[in-house]
Amino acid sequence: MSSTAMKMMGCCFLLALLVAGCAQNSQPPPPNTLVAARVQQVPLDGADSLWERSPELRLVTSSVKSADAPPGPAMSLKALYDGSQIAIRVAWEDPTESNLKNAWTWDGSAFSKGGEEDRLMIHFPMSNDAEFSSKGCAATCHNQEDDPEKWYMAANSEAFRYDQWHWKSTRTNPSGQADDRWLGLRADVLDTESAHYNDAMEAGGEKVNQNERRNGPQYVNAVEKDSPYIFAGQEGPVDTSQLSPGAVIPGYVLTPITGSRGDVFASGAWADGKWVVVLVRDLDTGHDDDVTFTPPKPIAFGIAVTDNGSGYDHQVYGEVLTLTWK
Amino acid sequence: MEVEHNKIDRISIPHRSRGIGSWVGAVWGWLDARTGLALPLRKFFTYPVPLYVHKNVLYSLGGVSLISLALQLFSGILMTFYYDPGISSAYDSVDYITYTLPAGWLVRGVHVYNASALVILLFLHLLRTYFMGAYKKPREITWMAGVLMLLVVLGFAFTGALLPWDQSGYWATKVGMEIAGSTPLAGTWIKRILQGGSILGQATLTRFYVLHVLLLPLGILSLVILHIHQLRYHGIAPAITEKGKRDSKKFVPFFPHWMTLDAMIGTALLILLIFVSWNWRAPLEFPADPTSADFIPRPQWYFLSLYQMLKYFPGPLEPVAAILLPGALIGGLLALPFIDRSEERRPWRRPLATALAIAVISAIVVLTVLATL
Repeated sequence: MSSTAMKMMGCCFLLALLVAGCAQNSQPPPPNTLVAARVQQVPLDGADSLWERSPELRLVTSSVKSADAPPGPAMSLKALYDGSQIAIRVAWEDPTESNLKNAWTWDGSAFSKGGEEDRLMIHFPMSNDAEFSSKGCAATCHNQEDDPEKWYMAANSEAFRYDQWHWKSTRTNPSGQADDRWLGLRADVLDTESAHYNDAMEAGGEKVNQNERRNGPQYVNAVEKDSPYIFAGQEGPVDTSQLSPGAVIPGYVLTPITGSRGDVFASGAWADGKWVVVLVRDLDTGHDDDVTFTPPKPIAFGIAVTDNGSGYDHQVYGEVLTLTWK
Repeated sequence: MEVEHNKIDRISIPHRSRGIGSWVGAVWGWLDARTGLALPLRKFFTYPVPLYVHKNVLYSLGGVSLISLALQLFSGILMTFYYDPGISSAYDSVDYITYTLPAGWLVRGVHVYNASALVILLFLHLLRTYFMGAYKKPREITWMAGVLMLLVVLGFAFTGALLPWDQSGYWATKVGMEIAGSTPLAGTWIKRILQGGSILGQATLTRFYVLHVLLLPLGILSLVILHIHQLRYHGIAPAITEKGKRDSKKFVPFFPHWMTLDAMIGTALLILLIFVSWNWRAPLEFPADPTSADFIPRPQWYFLSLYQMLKYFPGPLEPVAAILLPGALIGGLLALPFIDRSEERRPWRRPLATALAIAVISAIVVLTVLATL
């Protein structure tokens, strides 16, 4: 090889190192980054060994009710993706499993209704949203505005919508789903719930298990009598003579959701004071009420959990999180 | 092929009598009869390149820089078809180019990483010229055009960073504007002219866009033409080594010999850029949020030394690091041929100039490294 060729190769090598160095030296990875690792097929099982391929992101949530409140549960996040789907695994501390929302308890003479559930909520902006991308949930829900006339627990502009994956231990987990919804402007400025919209649904969902007089359940589970859930097709008539005092009857009859609202598949398991929930969804559902993931484009997101409470009683991670791909 | 200088005129590019095809020859003959282009083109392509130049790959830095610049212009033009210079749409258009447009990631990746390559190539070309004393009489204009080209390329980098309207570009520009604003006497005026108002907004983006796609390209093309004209007018600086002087009497034609070598290195550069773009997608931060309080701005790596120096000159001393020292360096480079008027060109016989350059390069490297820590 001639000396000229060798020098040329040397120069190319030097240039390669320099340019590659520049590429590496681009911006440092932002904090709070969840890196989704590529696999052949994403698992729905939170115990699958594939999760070892995903770097763990650890967070500590805080209460939305008061800045002085004690910190919320610690969380561990992992993510995987394949050619068509993404899976996010969230594990968090929760000393009790709460899966009897609005359940009926028989005291021997009457029913009483009560109980809440555990929840996990993840929000993704459905378009390029500067404020959410830099401030996370503080840009939408937790902006510290107390005036209900001003936006709070809602989007701050009709230009932006947020895909909401709302996993509920009582109402969606038994069906292997999360409630796929979206957050927008409030339909009623005085009602925080009116900012939450359901994705388009064909069929399924939860039906309140309540008799016409609203003082007891309409059904019991005729197939699995001790199950904390009733699925469609398992309904049987309530016969109080067969119930012993303290018997608990589920508050809902569940049917898997079909349509855009049922896009997010879920598996949640509680054990040893910890929930492990896996959410799986298509990268692109083709629905205009869903966020579309386009790896390797990073996307901001926010996360919150609820311990045996309503949707409002959640612990949130206050800073913006970023989902990236490797 | 090596030939004596007096034989070089016999080498010619294809024309009517020796054309690849008769129709090419006919068209070329028609064009030549009306424009008289054949002779100057023949002179350009048969330009006799001294053998010592052809043998030394360092002399290819200029040609490869030109290829790199051409890649920038080409990739930039392609992106212009899709880029939308509005503060509410710029980010979405760059997002589309990067993540949706077929091969858009490649075009933008080549543009982004080649910007770094171009800075490196021009800097190395400038160093080669400096150490070989090629800036000396009568090549002062060639040198000054080269220094101005490096400045224009840095101007491209500064204006281009804002165009995606993402967090890093927005905040880096904000810092840049503050630095410009700290210029003694004219700072406020310069900042207002660049910014197009009191805040960094649509007017700024429009101005940076016009600078990036119109004025700076016109400027650099003018400088390239001037640089090449001067290079051809005065010829390449004579050899400084004994071996080189021995090869000075032998020549090869610019085409195909030297052009082939440059084209090979240029191709290697393109392959490298594609490789880098494939493995590390050109970064696009989240969209700019002017209300974001905790974003830490970081300039491009070639401005990191300046960024680091600012830390040593806080408060009222900032203009020293931001304006005075860089201004002195640029002014010194432009005035160099008039300051260093000796005829000695060998670096080992110019210890002061050599030591000064090594000191400046070392300072830039150390400051850049410190800024990354």
